[in-house]
Amino acid sequence: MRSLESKLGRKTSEKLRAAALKLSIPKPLFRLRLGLAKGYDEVFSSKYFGKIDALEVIRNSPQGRFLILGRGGAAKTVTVKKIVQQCAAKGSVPVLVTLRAWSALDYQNWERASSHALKIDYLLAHFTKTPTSTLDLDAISPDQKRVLVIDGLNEVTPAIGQDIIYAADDFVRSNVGSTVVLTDRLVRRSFDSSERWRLGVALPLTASVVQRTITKPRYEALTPYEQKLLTSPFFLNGYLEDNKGFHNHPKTRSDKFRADFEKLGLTPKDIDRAGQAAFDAYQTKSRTFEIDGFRAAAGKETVKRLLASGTLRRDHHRPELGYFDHHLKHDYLASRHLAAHPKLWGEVQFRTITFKGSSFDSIAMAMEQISSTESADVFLREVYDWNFYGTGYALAESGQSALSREMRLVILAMFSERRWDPILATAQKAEDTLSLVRGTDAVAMRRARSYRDIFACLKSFHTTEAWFDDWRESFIRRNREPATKSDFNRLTDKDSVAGWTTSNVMKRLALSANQQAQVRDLLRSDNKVVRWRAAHVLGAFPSEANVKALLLRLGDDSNSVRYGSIRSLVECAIWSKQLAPTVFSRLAEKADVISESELVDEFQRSVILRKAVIPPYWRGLVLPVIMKLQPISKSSGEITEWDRLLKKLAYPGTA
Amino acid sequence: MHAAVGPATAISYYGPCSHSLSKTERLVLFVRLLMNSPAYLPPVPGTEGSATIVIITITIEEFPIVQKAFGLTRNLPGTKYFVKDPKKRHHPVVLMRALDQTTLPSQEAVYGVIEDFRPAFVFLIGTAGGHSERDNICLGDVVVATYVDFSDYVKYSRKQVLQRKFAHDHPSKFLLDRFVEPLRCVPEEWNTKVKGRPKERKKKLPKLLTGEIVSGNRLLGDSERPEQMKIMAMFDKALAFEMEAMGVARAMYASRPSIHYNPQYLVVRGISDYVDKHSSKNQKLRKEWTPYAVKTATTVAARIIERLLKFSNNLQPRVRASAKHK
Repeated sequence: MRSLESKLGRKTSEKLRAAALKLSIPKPLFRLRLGLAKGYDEVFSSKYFGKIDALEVIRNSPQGRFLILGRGGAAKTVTVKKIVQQCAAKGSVPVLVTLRAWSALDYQNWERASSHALKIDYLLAHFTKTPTSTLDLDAISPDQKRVLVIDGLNEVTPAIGQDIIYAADDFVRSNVGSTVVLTDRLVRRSFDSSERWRLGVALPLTASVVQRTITKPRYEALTPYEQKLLTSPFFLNGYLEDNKGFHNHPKTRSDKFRADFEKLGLTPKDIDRAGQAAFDAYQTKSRTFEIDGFRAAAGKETVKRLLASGTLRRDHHRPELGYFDHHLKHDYLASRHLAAHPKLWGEVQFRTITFKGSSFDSIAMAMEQISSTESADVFLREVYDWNFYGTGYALAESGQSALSREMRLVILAMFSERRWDPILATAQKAEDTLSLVRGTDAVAMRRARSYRDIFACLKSFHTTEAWFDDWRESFIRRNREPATKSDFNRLTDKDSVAGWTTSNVMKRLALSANQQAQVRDLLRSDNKVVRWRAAHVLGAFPSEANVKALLLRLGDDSNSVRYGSIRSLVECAIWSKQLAPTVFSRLAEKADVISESELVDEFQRSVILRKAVIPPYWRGLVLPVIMKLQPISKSSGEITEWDRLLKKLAYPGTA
Repeated sequence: MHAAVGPATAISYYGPCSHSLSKTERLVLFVRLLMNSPAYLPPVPGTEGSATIVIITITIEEFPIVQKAFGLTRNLPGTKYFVKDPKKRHHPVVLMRALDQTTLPSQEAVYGVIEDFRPAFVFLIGTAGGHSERDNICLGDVVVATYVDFSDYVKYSRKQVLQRKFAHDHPSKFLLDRFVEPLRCVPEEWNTKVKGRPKERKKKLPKLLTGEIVSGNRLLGDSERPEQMKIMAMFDKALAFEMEAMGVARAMYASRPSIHYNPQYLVVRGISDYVDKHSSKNQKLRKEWTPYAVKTATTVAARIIERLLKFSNNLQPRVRASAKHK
């Protein structure tokens, strides 16, 4: 037995180490530094307890788990390749999993992997240059450290990215002598054993490093934006490859990419066609696509130039498939097409090109390329309609754009307000998104400690835009001020910004019994968005009538209305000690409805509150509902999610 | 500092769950291990060192009694663990108290100890409520679980209560057969040694029973509550009812996917009250009998552990010399 094990283990070890040592690492390699953060609050507020060289990640993972976080272009991929090589050289057994090639088929296959081990096996079999398995890895002598590196959680949907984190956590726990290193964007994740994870944020290159690299005279000749752009390893590398020059002094990332494609000899029309091809390629929900299909849309000559320059690469295992050498280039092309075609501005396309909200670079770059303020504002409203947080990420990731200052302020104000939502996930996400947006206005909104502060920011802004004045008037309202007819008109407004602003504002106002009845009537509107907004308002007005009306909406046709209703029911329970037992006992009675209507996730999210608002009776009332729901789980994965919820309830503030 | 191990090859403990060997191969290897094994050595130390046994207790009352009995009074700095000598990397026994009652904290506790020490064995020591009409069980008796079940995972439909299951380990057959059963058959080996017997118990020595233990996330303190009555009826053979064993069982199950590592566990509970008595009386009983019940459970566990350590010949700590890239 021992000799059989040794043979298999040795073979696996040799094979994987050899593959790691053969990895090609682009030069020059900029030494990435990471800011070590205790948790995501510290990540988003840039409060680091230490800074390390990224190649020291393994040494700085005492509990075997490390997550490297950073924006696109921060050289995470190059860094982890170097880490993998380093591990192999030191006698460990590294495996590099690259998620870039994730495709539509993988989403289906992933659902079938019912355990953490099977999920890891799936990654090891399909996303490594040398396919392997957890069984093979287990055959390796426990003397040798196994290092599993998973690059690109942003290449998959947020739910799958989260799944992978849980599976990686289980991998370390269950497999002796293992370490995992993952790369991700700046997005908050959950962990099963949060105290064992190390978070490292990719820091921008310092000005001195950039200066040293390109020489001081050249550095001083750059514009401030260019100097800032070069703190990204991706762009610094591009600058060096460009023979140390910037063409046309780019003002945005899109500018830079456009210039790069033009240097390959592509005309604006060629780039437009490539843009359409890139956009269509994303319909497969993957960054890997069939080259023939791409060629048909983009043109033979364009594809020839892209392949020759290495911008477009063939897949190692399946040469008929291709991918861009960096996803930002694919994002740029897709965003160019998106920006030029307003008819595409909507939920379906936004979901597709952002991988269901996992990666917002394409949205940000699209915004950069929209030249008129009016159109840019319309674009952002459409993004808002699809995904509120998408607007924040668009603001955070985009450079200069034609977006109006008014629209920007509206979004910032609404994010600022949301930080005080009683539901922790909502509050955290608002805080996180706001912290990523640069600019003095964003800083002011982040610093706001009360509505008064937000109102002060808004009042100090001078504008000639009537629509903004109207919006500001609707937003700046005293607490418990009576609601008016205008509020009800705006609540049903087609404009999503106006409608949702009012839906949130009305929660702060005083609504008479009659007015609440009016809102309840809106729950029967033909328009699902209106029903959703009405459900949202009622969360602030706990009463038997409102609870009854919301309970009925749990059977609504629209997902959004159902989610909004269960959320508001939970809110009613927060604000009314008297009604809370009724709310939860009714929810317990409707366990089957909740389970079958895909409301489980929303319920789980809603019952975890900000620490400051948790009522003393909370856990005692929520637990019986969980006891009803957990046994009717459809899978072991769902059971585990309930366990996670129980842990969050027991230990508020843990991830 | 690591002492050399010779012969310098890993000894992996191939328990009953090693998938690649036939039954005969496993038996041969196991006997060879028994005859020749220098000691149990985890394949790779955990993040805080290594241990042969980790003991988990739950309540504030249980911890000091267990701690004193095993002499595990020194805290490993920066951790929740107590050992004899914090300077060593290998510990024969480590003690910890779970953060809270119920299955989730105990599950988390086990996940933690598995990673931190890669122990061969995990012991859950504490108290439980017994059923007075089953197996002549008395206060102060000790129940060691042969089987663990969970009372809270049920689906209620109109006419019936349907039990639901999830995967979990059962207690170690190795420990039950070789260490628990001898103590059960020869109770004088342990039950005369327990001090602090309450007056009512003076004439009656505690006994050791083995059987089903049922875990649940609720304290079963009132025999007249309909929910509790349902549970008693559903688990009509269970000897004892407590709140943590299923957490341990689930975590142990999840912790054994590697061929190099096969930890096992035991649940040892002293009976401190009766689940089939009225709550007002039960509360008083629990308060009165808990210290003694912890002592009886601890005494049984201590005898097992003493013999187990002797068996594994692991009185002196040894760790692999060649752990690379730590």
